Amino acid sequence: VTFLVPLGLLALLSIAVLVLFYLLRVRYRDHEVGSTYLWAQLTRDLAVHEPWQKPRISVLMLIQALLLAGRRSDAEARGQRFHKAYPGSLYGNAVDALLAPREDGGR
Amino acid sequence: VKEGAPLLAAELMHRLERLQLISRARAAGLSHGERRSRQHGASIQFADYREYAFGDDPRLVDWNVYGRSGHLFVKLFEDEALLAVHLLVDVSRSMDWGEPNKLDAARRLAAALGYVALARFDRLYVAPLDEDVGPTLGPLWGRDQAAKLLEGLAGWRARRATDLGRALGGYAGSTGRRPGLAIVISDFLSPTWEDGLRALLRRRNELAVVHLLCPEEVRPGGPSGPGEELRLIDRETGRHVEIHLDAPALDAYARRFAEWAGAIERFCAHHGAAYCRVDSDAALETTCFETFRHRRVLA
Repeated sequence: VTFLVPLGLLALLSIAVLVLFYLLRVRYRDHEVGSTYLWAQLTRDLAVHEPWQKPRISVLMLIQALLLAGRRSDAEARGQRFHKAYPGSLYGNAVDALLAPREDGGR
Repeated sequence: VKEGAPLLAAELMHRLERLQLISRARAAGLSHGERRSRQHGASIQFADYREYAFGDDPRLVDWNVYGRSGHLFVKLFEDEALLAVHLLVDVSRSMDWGEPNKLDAARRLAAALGYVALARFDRLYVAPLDEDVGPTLGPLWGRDQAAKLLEGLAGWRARRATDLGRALGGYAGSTGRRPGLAIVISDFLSPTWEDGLRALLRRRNELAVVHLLCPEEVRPGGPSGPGEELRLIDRETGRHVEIHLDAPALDAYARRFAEWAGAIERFCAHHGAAYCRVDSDAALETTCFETFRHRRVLA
């Protein structure tokens, strides 16, 4: 083992980062409640506004990703550029704005 | 409820005898004061006697009995005596929680409402609810059956989760019980509450809802106050929810709580049902003589 190998040094540093993350992790205190019925609905509302969120496995999202990957590879095989704009998303709205005819006729 | 402590104090029982449950069916039956002269003895059959209470029609006092016994008794007629009262109490594990404990408060409320029904010679049925409907007590009538009612209530234990839709649907669907006034005492922390109440209404029951919550459910503060990272563990299902209990989270909870409680109240108002929000720390006397009377459950 030698520290002169850059990858080995990087791996060593990553261990330190992992330990730091472990030490800084959120520690939850267990608290029994009669029911989490209202709280469960609330966390869904609150999670939407959080900047960093845990990745959630969603079957619908996986299907969409697979379809997107399949269509992208088809388009690339035909030499076309492909963009997917979800309606209602920021990107989708931006695409709509760009494609919409301007009221002032483009002056 | 402390071991051996009575659910109802003797003095309170005496005061409760002056009250009665409000019911449209009973109101129709009581109007026989006017009808009696026109339909003399035809459809209004004598059923029983009850001790005179303040507010009773003096025309119904049996003066012959008074002459013999020295006590005032009023005559009960069949349509009046046979009001069926269905007292349906949530005994799921979510109810066995809180300070003061919701299940203990539910037992006392059920005892008080049940005793009012017994004292008025209504036909009383009492059933515990959790995932399904438990064994039904009744029909009971008359104050003599009060011990049976109180014993039955004290024997209930919270063992299972809540499914109000299934439990109330099961009760409404069971045969052999006539429709009447259905009083549901629950925290309504069940996604199927609306299905359950609709099932009771479909069977032509009148409805009164007692929405029982503990102070921490109304105004949560966490075990050590706001600002904590909490893993809230559901007493019924064991599922957990992780939350940072800060001011925005508490505000969001207050909004969600108001929407949910408001939805239950609006449902009741829309279907002509009485709705009472009761906190488990409220004094039983205050609930019976102020809240229930103000909300038209008792008169």
